[in-house]
Amino acid sequence: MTVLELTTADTAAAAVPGSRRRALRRVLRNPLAAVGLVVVVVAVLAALLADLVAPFPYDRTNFGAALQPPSPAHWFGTDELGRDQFSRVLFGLRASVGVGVLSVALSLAVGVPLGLLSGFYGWLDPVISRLTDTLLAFPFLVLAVGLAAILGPSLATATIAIGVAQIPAIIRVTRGETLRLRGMDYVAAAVAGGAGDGVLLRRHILPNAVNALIVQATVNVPAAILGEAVLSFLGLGLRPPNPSLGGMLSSAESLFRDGPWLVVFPGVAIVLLTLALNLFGDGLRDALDPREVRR
Amino acid sequence: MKPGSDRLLDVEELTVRFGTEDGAVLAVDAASFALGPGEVLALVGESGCGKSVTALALTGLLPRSAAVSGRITFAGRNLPGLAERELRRIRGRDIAYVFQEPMTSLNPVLTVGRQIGEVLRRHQGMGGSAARRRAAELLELVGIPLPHRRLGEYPHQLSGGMRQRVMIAMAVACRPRLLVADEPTTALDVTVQAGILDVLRTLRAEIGTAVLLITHDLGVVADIAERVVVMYAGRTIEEAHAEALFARPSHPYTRGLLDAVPNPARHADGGLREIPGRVPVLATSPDACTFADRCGHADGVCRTRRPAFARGPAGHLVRCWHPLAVPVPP
Amino acid sequence: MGRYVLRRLVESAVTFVLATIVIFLGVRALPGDPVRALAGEENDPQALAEIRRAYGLDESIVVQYVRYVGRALRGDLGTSARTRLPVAETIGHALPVTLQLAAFAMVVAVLIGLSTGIVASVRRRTASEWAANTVALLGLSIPVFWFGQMVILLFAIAYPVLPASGFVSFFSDPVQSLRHLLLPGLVLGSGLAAVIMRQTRSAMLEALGSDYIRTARAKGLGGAQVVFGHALRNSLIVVTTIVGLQLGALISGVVVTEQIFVVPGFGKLIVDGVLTRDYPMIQGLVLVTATAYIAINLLVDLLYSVIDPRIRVGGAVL
Repeated sequence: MTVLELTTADTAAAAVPGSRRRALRRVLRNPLAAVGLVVVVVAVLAALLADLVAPFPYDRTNFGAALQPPSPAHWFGTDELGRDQFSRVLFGLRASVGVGVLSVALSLAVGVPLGLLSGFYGWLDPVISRLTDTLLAFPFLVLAVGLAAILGPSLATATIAIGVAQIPAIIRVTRGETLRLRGMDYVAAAVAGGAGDGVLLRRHILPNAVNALIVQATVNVPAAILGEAVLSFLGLGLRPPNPSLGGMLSSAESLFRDGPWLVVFPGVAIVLLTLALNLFGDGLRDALDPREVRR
Repeated sequence: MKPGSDRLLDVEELTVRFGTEDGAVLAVDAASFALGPGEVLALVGESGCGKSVTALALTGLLPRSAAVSGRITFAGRNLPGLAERELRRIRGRDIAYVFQEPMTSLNPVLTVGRQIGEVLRRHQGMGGSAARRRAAELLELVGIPLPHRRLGEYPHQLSGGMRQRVMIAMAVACRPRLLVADEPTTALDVTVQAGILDVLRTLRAEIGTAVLLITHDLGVVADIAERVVVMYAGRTIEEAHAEALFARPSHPYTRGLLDAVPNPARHADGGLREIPGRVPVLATSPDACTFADRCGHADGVCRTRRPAFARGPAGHLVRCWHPLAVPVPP
Repeated sequence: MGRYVLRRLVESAVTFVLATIVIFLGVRALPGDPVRALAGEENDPQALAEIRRAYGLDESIVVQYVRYVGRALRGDLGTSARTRLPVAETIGHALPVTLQLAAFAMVVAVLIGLSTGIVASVRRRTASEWAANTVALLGLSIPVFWFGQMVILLFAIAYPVLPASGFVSFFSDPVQSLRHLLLPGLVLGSGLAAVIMRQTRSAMLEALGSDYIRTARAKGLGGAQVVFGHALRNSLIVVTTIVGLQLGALISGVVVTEQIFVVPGFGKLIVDGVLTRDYPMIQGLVLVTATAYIAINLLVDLLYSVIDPRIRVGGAVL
């Protein structure tokens, strides 16, 4: 119960219909958030267009040019197999962005309906709450480890593990918003007007819960990207030779002394991406949260 | 109130501006009024007229986004000129506050005894047990039964009226010379309100404190105030003794306020009347009467020239080009 | 209060039972014959048959579950497929290592997070607020393992001032222990510090804007009394809960941190278990983690009700 109160208090954003576009404009006036958005867009484009942008295929080896420090030919240097690190970082971004988006989509697809039901039908609430608690009893990495053991390590496993780990937060936010909105006058008016449960949930409650979900998603996407990096680092995500940023850092561990750039660039890429997402998310949160605006 | 040494508080040309995201807001526009020792003065107006801001501005309690100018002389000292350290010594000891919402104005995680005791420790250097004893006396003074038991309780365990009594006990702990009561009864049930006003009246008689009562409730004003200052859109627009104001309101706005009070004895003709329109939010002080847009008597002068705060036909101070002379029908 | 405690106890018990079911079924869901999975590298048919009998895999699934829980409650978590040592014993050796690391990281995180959070809320629109916010944002954006690698690169390779790996118990040699704990503790605590900082800051801002703070100032209290006596006291209630809820993240962080700094603890067991497909070990580790986590959540809720008088006395506010 306490947890619920906190999640909603932290992320509650009163939905004023039609205010979302204004909120976006307000975000872009915030310079940090705007920079964040630009970096995110560039990173996403780079990830999508990696095939076109990357100077080399990610798996092209060149033993003549192994362990080269950064140079005009290889911006981020090369690894022990002579593979171009810049190209590999671009492809690695693709894995990061893909897992980030897909896992959050998965958590929303499962969490939102459960949250709506839990908040709307009192008798379902204890059942769903216990399931949520059970899921929460497994810390993210332990859950991922268990799933990796069952499904075998792969990008899909990482996506599922991260998505499942984020379901409880989505359920709680949706449930909190549903409870809040259900008590509102206009919902009572709709009920008095004879609206059925389905109409209430779809037309009156869900659209107004979207702000809170957006705010939660701005936290979840960067967390998912970090999660993917960790899983790949531990060898539970994308398998070599496919490049992922975490995997690159993992294989660079033994080359600390000979090729420190191998550790630096993939890490900087992750940090820049998550930092940009967090900056944009913070700006969006402030813009969507009327309490912040009033301050 | 005319100049003299008998003044406790003298506010001259007090102006407060807020810088907000949507531009500047002029909350108080050159307000002036004075208060004698032991006097009860009511500051009256609709919400947003600047009366609460005025109250907080007295001891520098406004947020940093507020720009305050003008003179506030309290017991011979100009308060805005004092350092924060000095003001802290005055707050709670010489000038004490009672706020509107007794639920949110008390700290929910500290006991009643601790919150009252804090004032005594701060200003009277009392130790723990002395402060506790005195706090119990204070609770008794404001009419709370079983004071010793209440000391250990938390605000959420008390009723709204009780909480407000605790607020008052806290405020009078150091026998302040001025008690600022900002809508002290607004959040309470009508039956509880009378009790709170009784406490205020008794305390005033007992410790001789002056009271600056901020309210929009003319019933409360009639009940307890000696003099009344009416505020509108940041300006003081009428000042008079309470009975005189009720009998012969000179400003059309004051008249409108009185007409909006349900009074079965009076309105045989048309019942309750509302003032059309809303209080304007101003960025700068216009060279006009700020009430002109809502006033039935307004003409060209009202819209182009700023009225002075001067004696009207009824002898009240009034800021109006066309003050009313007709008394309210009995 | 009593009813609240009882309700939370029952809820936790239900969650525990559900968690054991999930873990039990998880092992059944392993690809292939669970016997093969449980046997690890073992191939001898006779050994396999023994495992089948030992684990009661010839019985119905309900009976198997009940036996599994019964054994677990008696402290029998099976035998490691890799080392042939009892799982419970192995975990028992690793746990104190991890607890010392986690406790150290927690202390670091609370110290850094609380102080910077308070500074950021009190000194608004100053360089210190900006600095505190930036550090917190970085703390949230930097992956733990990369931060660990950078720290090792800097303090153990470029300027070798601290050991980059290993563990010494605090109870055998406190100085050496702290030297070994400093880098991993800092790395593990950094993310948590960022979360605590942000929560402290927002809770403090909310508290500082509230009516009771205005009352406290109107009473003539000094800045420190207002900030610490009134605002922080209220904020700590929220922060305590957040810290409790973050313990799960701390467990995830332990896995990574121990891997990078080669600390022979609980997290290292998990990674090794997965890499060597030591299923009995994984099962035991997951069970211990889940149990600990449920217990921690329960404790946090009870603690919360102790420090918040609105719950402690007189009532069901929540």
